[in-house]
Amino acid sequence: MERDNRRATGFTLIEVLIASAICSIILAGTLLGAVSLQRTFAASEYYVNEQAQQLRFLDSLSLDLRRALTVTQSKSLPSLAAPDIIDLTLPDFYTVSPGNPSELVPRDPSFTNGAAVYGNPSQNPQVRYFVSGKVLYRRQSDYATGTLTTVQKALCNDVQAFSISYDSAGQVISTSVTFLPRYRWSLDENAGVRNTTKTYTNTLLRNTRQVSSTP
Amino acid sequence: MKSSLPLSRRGNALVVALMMSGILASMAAATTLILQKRFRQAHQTAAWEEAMLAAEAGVDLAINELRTQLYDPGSAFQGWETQNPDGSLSATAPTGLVSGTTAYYTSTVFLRTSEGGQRSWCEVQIEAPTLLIEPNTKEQWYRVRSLGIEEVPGGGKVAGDKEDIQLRKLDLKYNRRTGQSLNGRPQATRMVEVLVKPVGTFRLALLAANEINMNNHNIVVDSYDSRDPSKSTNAFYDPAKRQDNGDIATNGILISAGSAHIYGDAATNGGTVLNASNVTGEIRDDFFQELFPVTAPVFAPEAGSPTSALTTTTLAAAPGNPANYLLSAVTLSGSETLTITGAADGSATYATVVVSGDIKLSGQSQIILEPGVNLRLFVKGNADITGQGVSNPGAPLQFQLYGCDPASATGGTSNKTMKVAGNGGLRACVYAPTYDITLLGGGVTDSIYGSFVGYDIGMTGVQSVHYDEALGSGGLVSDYKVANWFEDTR
Repeated sequence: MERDNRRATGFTLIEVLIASAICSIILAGTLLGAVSLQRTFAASEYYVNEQAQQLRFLDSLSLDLRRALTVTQSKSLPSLAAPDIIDLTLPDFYTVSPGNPSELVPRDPSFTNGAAVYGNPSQNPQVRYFVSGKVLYRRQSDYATGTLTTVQKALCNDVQAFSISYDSAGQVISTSVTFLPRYRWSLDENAGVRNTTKTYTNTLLRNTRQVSSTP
Repeated sequence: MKSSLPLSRRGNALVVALMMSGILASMAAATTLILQKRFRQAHQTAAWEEAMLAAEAGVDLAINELRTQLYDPGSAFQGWETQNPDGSLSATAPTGLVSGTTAYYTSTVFLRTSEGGQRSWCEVQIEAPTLLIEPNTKEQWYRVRSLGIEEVPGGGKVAGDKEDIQLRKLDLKYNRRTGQSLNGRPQATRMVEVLVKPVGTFRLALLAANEINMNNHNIVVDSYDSRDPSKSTNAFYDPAKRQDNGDIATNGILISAGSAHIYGDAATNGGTVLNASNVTGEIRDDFFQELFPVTAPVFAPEAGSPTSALTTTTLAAAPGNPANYLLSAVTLSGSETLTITGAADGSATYATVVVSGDIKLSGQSQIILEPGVNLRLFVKGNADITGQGVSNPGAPLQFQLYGCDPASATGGTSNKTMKVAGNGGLRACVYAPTYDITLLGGGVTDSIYGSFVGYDIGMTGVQSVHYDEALGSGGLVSDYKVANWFEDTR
């Protein structure tokens, strides 16, 4: 069988250089694209994670506001334009199970001056939402287990602004939180290149009507 | 086409193609997994929110049954079960929720036909425990526990961070409250505990089913609270301690305020408040309040008691359980009186009087309540309590006048009339939603203290109406409201 000597002939140096240059350009483009995609993906994931955190905060706050007996707001610094702390009082609803000290059970209410109350009003659980170092926290202090217990949890990060107000003669609490997400692996962490997201929640107080004035 | 490449080179191309396919497939799988996790988290969060809607719908169902128990007792609690003290259920519906009983209900299952297709329902329990009998009023409060349940699409897999799981506490494999397997149907559940209190009939200064006409007399309507020394003096109205809860409202569309000075709100049902320049509170047009019909109580009257009051008559109130009297009519003239006598020391005594016909007072005649007497007067016919009106030395709640539903009374089904004289400072509360009420005054200082509910309410010669805020928790139970609300997050 006759061999095809023409196809076995090698490339010239020029051909190899040109091919290498083209391959390098394509490879560099691909790498740059891949890195950019990876950055975008990371930023998007971080953004979605922060949205989940925002949702968690709104759900947690709504849950507490619905069952609150009192709602007050204050400022962590007098110079702030708007309040950034919410303090809630919840009913002293839980007590230790007589049969299982590690289990909390609802207690029966009793009447005081024509009103039904749970437990000891002086030991009602106190809940505070506040921002510290761009992290929004929920702190609860209560006597459900018989002694004062305080638990503090970080609910979400990258909080830029946080404010509350009373609507409908104090029956509705409106809350808004502005988040400024960080972009992990971003080459530019300047706040100006990032978009903030602002979330709102309006919660109808079930137990009590608050005063309509704001401090 | 026949390939000219050697076999070894063809194999390399296949490997490269497979590798590229593998890389692309891995990227697609990773993306799908991430998206799936996000979708699952979104569905779980949404289901948790919707479980609250189901739980609060259960509370509404419970309060609706309690209201039905007031207005149509025969229809209340149909489809409900009686829960025994050990937690087991009896298929029989409770006939009225008396103290010590518990009613239980599982709602219709709603299927969301759009995305997810999950089901939701609620399980409701209404308790009437003896510990919820208010010690002062002896009224029964109720405890409602409603569990809202919403199935979660996307399978029983965890999504979200640890904090999300601690907050929302989804049941993915087992029901955390009962320990039972969910058989592949994960769910979100939320429990709400609500205390429901009864509400009396006298919640407003003036309430009409149709129209209020203040007749352009610059009337003053305000409030005081006989229970609070800072809002009254010796439990009586003090103009220096005036409050602004003298609310007036109608289920109809018209209040003719007549430039009255109303220290409170004025509300209509989509209507108008005319001449409302002196209303200090809100003027609203979104008002409606159910006005239940009154049926006179059925009882055996006191032995040997009079059967009518056609001349001066005396009836004795009793401590504890009320003394009951059934009169065919009350017709007094000249200086005749109907006197309800109480205890010598003025301590609390009670009487219930049902008048099956008309009440008519003229001349100087009068209905007199001795100190400490609490009278509930039910009239089935027309009432003309003019003459010298009613002498009640106590609080307005001590003289309650009810106009009975025409359908349950003699004399047809049309509206009846009720005239009440305000001279001398009438202290009374009147509930007659099918009566046209006219409040009459004869002098420049005539004031009325109490609360008035009628079909049409008109005023002639009355200078002021002072609403006692203590009336809000008195009188017959006409409604229920949520007094305490708590979500049990265990």
